[in-house]
Amino acid sequence: MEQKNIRNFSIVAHIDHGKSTLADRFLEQAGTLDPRKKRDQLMDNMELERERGITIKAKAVRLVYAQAGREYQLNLIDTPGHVDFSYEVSRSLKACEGVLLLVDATQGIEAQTLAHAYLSLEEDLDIIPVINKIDMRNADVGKVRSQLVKIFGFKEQELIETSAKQGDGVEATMRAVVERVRMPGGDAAGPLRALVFDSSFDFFRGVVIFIRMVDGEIREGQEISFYSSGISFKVDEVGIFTPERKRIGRLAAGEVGYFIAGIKDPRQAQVGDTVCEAKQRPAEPLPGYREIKPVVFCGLYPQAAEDYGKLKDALDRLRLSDAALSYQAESSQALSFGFRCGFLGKLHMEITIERLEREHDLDLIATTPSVIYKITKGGKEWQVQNPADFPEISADQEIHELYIEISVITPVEYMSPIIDVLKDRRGTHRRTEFLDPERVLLVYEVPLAEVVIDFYDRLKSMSRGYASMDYTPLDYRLTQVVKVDILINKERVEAFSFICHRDKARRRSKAMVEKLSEIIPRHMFAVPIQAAIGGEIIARTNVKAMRKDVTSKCYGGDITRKRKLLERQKKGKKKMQSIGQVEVPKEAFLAALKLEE
Amino acid sequence: MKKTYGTRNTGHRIRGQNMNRPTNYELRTTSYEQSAQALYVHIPFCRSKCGYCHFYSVASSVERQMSKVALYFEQLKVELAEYKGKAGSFSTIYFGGGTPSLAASGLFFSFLEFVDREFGIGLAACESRVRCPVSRVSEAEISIEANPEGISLEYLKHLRAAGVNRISIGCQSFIDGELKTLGRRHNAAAGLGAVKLARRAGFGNINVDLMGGIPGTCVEDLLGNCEQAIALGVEHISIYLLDRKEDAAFLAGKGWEEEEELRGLEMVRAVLVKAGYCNYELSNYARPGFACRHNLVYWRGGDYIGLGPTACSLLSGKRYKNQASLRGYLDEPGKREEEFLDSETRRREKIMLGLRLQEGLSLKELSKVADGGGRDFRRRVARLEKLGLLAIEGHRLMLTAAGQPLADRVMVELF
Repeated sequence: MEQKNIRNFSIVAHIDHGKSTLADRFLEQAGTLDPRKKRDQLMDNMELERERGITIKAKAVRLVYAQAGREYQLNLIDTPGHVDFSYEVSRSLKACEGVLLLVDATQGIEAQTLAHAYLSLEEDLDIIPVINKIDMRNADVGKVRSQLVKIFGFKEQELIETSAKQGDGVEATMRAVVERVRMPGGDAAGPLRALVFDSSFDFFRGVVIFIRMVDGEIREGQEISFYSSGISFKVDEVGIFTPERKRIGRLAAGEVGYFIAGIKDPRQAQVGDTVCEAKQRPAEPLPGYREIKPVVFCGLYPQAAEDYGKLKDALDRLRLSDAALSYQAESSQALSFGFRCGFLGKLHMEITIERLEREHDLDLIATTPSVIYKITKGGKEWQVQNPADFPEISADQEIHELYIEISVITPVEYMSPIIDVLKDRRGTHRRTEFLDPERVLLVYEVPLAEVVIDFYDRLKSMSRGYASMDYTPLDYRLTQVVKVDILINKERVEAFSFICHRDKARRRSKAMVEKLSEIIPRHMFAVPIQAAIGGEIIARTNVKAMRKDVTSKCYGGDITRKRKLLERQKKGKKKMQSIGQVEVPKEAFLAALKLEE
Repeated sequence: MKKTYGTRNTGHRIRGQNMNRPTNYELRTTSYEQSAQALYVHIPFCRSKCGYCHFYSVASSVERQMSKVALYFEQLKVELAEYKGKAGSFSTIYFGGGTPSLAASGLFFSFLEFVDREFGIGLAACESRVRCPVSRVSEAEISIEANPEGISLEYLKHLRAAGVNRISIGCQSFIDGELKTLGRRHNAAAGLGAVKLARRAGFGNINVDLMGGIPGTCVEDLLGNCEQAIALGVEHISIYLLDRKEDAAFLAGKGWEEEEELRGLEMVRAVLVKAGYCNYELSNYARPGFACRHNLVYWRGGDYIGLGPTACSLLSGKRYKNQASLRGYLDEPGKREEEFLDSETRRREKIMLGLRLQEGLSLKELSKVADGGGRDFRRRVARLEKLGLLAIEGHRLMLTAAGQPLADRVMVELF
């Protein structure tokens, strides 16, 4: 199709503002989807996504739309809806010329609405503001209209009102896409350049690569390569999504679709990379590619040790459809064998754990998330994300940690407790902006480490669920973090060590030793539990000695019962980990790993 | 303190015997192959149930029980007859309950006669001091548990004449308020009276049960009760503390704090030892020569036969437990569960029981039962010794004063 009849666009919205429902209406309108056969929100094809209302993997659907006697090809590129996938979102947006900025009429602008809008502005996209859910009883269309005008400077007449659920305003929205989103640029006659914006895995065919054509065309049988790796492949199949895969043999400049080239490892087709002709490497790749690096880590262990193999298989399979997931085997005193896994963020971690548990029928134990620290010493730089690898304190080393810019939108009444928490999390205030008399935007710079542990939950509970947040990574900054060791009966127990900021070490140490003293049972002697930085003890407590444990009566009839009671105690002891003379129950390790801020 | 208990318990005028000469019974110890020498007889009748008591019994009025009790004693004989060949003569018999003193003295008379005829307990006629056709004494220790209420001098004399030579009186306390809390049917005066009555009836070996840790009481109350028992001149005192775990329902969280329990145990021991009692088992005190030989059989791991519902027997490495139903027992006295004790189980029981005794656990005996756990066991013993909880004297292993309140914990360590 000619480029002038093609429109590539995305829908961006805060969670639950109705993105997937609107996408489904488009599919129906274009006749692509048979309403009798439809499942709700067809574009989210993972069970989990539907349940959590989050689109995890971007999909692209080609719609055919006729207007004024002309037929248009509308490519709807679905974007992942959460903060952790902001890089993937930005890649998806790079494949578009326009976005529909969808806002829930009952909620108004939320943190991710802002984040997406700014991202779209950065990409210089044509933005069409859409107010959704206008049919809801508690919709406040007027207020949302004025927010959109005030915050983004839209004109009143640009705003479209819809009820995706009822189907109202859908036609107007599609018309706006045709009229207001510019046609794709690119050189149809030039050498092939296409942007990889996502991939999925087909167990029979290998990696399915989602591309946005920029220059030239891609055909079956063609030899292509990826710009970053230089590895070449022969294209087996080229097609589009309707939303099912449909083979069409070639894609031209401006179009969106997929190709399959017998690639077994999804890491060979990285999001953001440029596809080019194997023999004609372009001078410039498409801009913006970077390697995705995990920033949040946690240990994943099977509840039952014998499930280790099953967990490994599950992770191997999951990585095929999630190139951002990384993992390596590790072992722990308390939890035996498992994996240290890296994620794009806390939500990515949570979704992965849920998928592992649900789709692979596993019971998992996840340790407290941690982040990466960069350590420089004597001209060398290396990264540490596990307390066990953390170097001893020394004067000539510097430690850097990742800072993020966090945006929180909240009703004004919850502003002050949220500010307190942000301050407590070592946040630096950047700006405060009143979106309207009732809602305020807070922008802070905070270390990522302070956000990965229970921040989101705290925020939600403090604001009764009304506050929303989003963040973008900034840079690594010099920091004063220390490794705290825990000593039980004077013996250091590696599994309890943790990394935290020096200013918080005392507080967290106190919480840790107190928690441990609640869980570790009383012994026949007092058990000191101490926290130390290097050689300096910064918190201590004692598990008091057990003084009395004796049964008064024991005669002929009681012997078996009494023996069994003692045998049960013995069995309980065996389940515990012996550290020197002290028996430490498994819960202690779990509690330590789950210790909250 | 001496670790052996020569037993002198009769104080009877036995024909041809000097009553002043202590009769020493050599307790053959702890081979599971030997035949049982101890007989326990459970008498599962009570006038009412006490909240803290875990023993099996049926409560109903005396009148309604009379005929049933007689029938029950007949059934005991039927059950005992089954053991013919598995036991030689008995050196101890213990009537426990329930409330054995609810049963008519004649029932004991005929039952003991039956036991003597079928197995032998060395019953001999002696000079009658009561209006009784015959009066007997036995070489065996024959104990009965009795409640202070409803026992008369006459009744006690008849028990003596039947051959019973040791009485254990369930006084529990000599403070009215405590007895009320415990739900006992007697008062302090009745408890004191019962002990004096038993003495008058000729019992030369009397035990008093005392209870500590009763809600609303303090250590001093328990010590006062001990002083009372000492003043009564009893030969034997058993002291049980209500247990925070076992008696949780009864205590409802109102029992003693751990520190109180600990102080209580310590002070009781000090008071009784000073008065000449020997703390020969964790909860039991006796004047020299008056340790309960029947219970020593249990603690030393000897074989025993138990009759009546819920009673247990230990014979040749197997433990049997009778059904926990009086009605079921009357229909089918031979119905019981069997438990085979493998060498590991026997090792554990040896540890669990032997450490209760002041004489301790014989490591020689232990190594006969199992290999004793080898080096690992010795390592654990050494550790507990270092903690000051265990002591080794010769080939015997025993709890120290510091180890006693932690007995269960120490046992678990050695299991």
